[in-house]
Amino acid sequence: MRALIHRIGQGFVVIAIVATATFVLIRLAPGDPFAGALENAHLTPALRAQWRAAYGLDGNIGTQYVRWIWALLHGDLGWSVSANQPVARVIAAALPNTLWLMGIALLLSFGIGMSLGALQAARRNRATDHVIGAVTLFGAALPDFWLALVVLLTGAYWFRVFPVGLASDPLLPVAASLGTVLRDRLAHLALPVLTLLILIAAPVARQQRAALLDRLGSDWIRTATAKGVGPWTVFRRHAWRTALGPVVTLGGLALPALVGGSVFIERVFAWPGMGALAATAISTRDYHLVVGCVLVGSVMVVAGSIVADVLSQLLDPRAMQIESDVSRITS
Amino acid sequence: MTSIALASGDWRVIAQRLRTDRRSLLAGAVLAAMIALVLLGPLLSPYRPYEQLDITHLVHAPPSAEHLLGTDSYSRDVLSRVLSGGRVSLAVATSAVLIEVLVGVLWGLASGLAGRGIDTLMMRIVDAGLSVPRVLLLLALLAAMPSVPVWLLVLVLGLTGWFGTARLVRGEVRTIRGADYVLAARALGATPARLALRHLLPHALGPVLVASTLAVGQVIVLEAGLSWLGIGVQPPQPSWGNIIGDGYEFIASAPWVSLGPGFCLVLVVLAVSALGDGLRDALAPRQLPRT
Amino acid sequence: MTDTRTPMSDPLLSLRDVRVTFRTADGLITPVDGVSFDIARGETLALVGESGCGKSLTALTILRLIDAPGRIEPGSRILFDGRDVLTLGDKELRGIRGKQAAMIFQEPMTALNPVYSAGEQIAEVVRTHADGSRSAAWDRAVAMLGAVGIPSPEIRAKQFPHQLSGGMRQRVMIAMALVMNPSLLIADEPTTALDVTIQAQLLDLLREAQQARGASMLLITHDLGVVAESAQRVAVMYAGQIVEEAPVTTLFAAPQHPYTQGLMAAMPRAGTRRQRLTTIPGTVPPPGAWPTGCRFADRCAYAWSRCTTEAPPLHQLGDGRSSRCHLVTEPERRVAQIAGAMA
Repeated sequence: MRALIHRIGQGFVVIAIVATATFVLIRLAPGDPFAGALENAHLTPALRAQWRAAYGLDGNIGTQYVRWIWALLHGDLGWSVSANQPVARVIAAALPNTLWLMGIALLLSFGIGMSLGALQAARRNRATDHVIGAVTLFGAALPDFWLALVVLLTGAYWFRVFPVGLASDPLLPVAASLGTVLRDRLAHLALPVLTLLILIAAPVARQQRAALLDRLGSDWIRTATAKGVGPWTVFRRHAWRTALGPVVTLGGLALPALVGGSVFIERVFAWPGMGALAATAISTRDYHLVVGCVLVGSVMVVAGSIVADVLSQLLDPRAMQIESDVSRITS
Repeated sequence: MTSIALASGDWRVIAQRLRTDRRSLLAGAVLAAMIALVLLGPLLSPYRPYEQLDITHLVHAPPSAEHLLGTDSYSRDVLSRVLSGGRVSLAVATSAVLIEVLVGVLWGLASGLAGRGIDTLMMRIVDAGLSVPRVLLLLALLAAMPSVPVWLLVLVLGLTGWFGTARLVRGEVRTIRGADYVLAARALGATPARLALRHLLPHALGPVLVASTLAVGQVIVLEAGLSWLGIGVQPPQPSWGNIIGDGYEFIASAPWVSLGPGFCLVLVVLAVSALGDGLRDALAPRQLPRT
Repeated sequence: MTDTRTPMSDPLLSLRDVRVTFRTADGLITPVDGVSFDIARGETLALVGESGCGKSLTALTILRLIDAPGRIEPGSRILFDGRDVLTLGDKELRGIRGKQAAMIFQEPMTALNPVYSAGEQIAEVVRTHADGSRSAAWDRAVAMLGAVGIPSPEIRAKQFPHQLSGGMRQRVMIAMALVMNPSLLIADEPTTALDVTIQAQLLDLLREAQQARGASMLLITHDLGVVAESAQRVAVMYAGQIVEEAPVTTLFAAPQHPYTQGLMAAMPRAGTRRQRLTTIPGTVPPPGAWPTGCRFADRCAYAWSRCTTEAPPLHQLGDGRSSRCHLVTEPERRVAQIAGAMA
């Protein structure tokens, strides 16, 4: 319990550093959302100052920072220039779509990846193992946005099985039946989920296989066999169960890449989530929205890795040992 | 933590292991071929990469004998652009990784040698860096800049990627710091800097080499992704990423514009990651079965 | 290899010409090369030798625990309670493992599963072999922990291996082995990983538990001191073969094989004046690098030309003694060697 509180405290420190660094970096960089507008000769200096004040861009950096952190603590992420709405509201609208997409993708990927890895370990050095190994090696090395493009091209353009983008059909009648809505939702989910599935399941399978082989070689497997426990129970209870920790930890470690990759994947599929929002915010130079996205993304990652840490500690009483195992497998 | 001890003589053993590993050989050959191809690009490429050949008749021409990878929406020859863009992509990635390694190794060494308080602070910063999705950080940085010349892109890529290396090096240093020979060197009055260079760094070299090989693959993909979003390498200068980006708008009607450079990208990334894996195996061969 | 021994009447365990091979990059090696011995009911046989001599592998063959690429060669025979272990079906074999014959491993840290509590790991044996509820199995595990001398067993049962001391972990291992009241205990260096004081306690515990249950024990060790206290008979292994076998008192009184003599000379004795311990020069040759003649020849003080060309058979000396040495047929050499050393 104390470890958990400590871990959460650590998370807050990390987020504070992230918040400060992001803010400072962006403020120090040249560029100004009003640079273009301010060249408009019709704008009087008084009007400019009024605009800046309205968007919280007046005063020196120190003042702006303190004001911003203060607002942040009150859940105020600032005003989005491009959406003409509070940043918090813009993000709140996009976040569920991302969580929905990622939740489904993570669940499926871990299910499939862990099964593949377990199958490989059970059939190690046989054809099944080699084939899955080659496929997952390939899958783990594919560039995310490129894979998204190819999936989009094949699924939506060449075979025309799935819709091209968005989370739902905007032309769907409001009175459509639940079945139609559900089918529409699933059709829109299919391609982005498939992309994430390939990207995540591959490393999960590799980690699952490595962790299982490590566990299968351990002395307690022999002890269990010597106790008269059957081979399937030995595999499930003594190898698979003890290999869960490293696999879950990998999930935590993979989160930053996943959240980052969602920028590209959501953009390719025009999925109205956080990733696509970040991409749009960039192109419109929407300061507060960019910072808001980075911050919320980091909070997601930090929270996710705390969950992964706690889970893997629950799964294995020797947390220290797990950490060294993971570094051995992943480094 | 696997700490891989390397004496200078071991490099021959590692090279030998790499030479006998078929996957590493193949990956190395593919990589060498791609590098040769993009380096010789200006000699090989049939057209100039910026030249709009015939804006009325040659827009989005499918692959043919004259245009092996077809032409794009400005009637430019895609193959010529891919060859030229490859130079940019590979150069950006390798230079960025060099910066990553330099900063990461220095930070890791400093943190590993420093006292408890400073070490904790430095590692907290690394934790923070590792927990921010790098893509988001890059988006934030790059978008804030009015224009991004290639050198700045390299710098930004390098400065957002060193956290992992720093942690790796710091871990190795901490592991080895207590080793007898290091203690002996300390007792003999070796300065911290000398200690780091002569005794600690060589041990961290192997894992750093593996990590940075794999990092080259990651950065190629990152650069491509950023350029595809329009905030990386700026057109008309081609890079694999922005060529794919050019083609994305027309992906349904002219998929070859994106597929050609995408294929090169995938090939190089796969080769680099296979080589990194091979290198890791060569540095720490799998344990022999117990007897 | 023919076995000329006189068979024991109705032994609990009987190994005949057991061979284990491993396929390696350098070819086939045979780390266990024709081992035979019997263990009577209620008896303790100590299997002694340096590390690498094949004694642990021999122990693993009894419950068929050799992992690939290792293999028990056809022609080997292992009879346990009248049944041929090597031809048993998987299910029958599992019925023996942990129930009729149980193993105690050397490293209690790695031999116990880190993610299950001590109690669960003992209860697992009960649940595997006996009907009954989970809670009944748990109660039996807790009782067993108490029986092996663990204080407040209800609390300890819920703890994980990493929360227990080395000695306590080995007590858990022993509890796991004893919980089904097996007729054979196979203890593979059960105290090697522990402190000396705890070693003695655990050996006492093992001996008492074994005697109380009338079980037999195969005790594997490299420590002759352990042998003297715990075993009735001793088999000495060297380079994959048994080189000498004898009742424990006879062995200590008059070791026959030069290797056994070397082991005894290397043993520190309590109560004697501090004198320099002799060591046997050299090391056990690895399997695959065994000489053609006697495998001990290159380390043996008596070795002569015959030893490097002709492999000695295991000579039966009567009274359950045997020695794999040419000195049995040329005893005058022993005297000559000693005389030579004196001169």
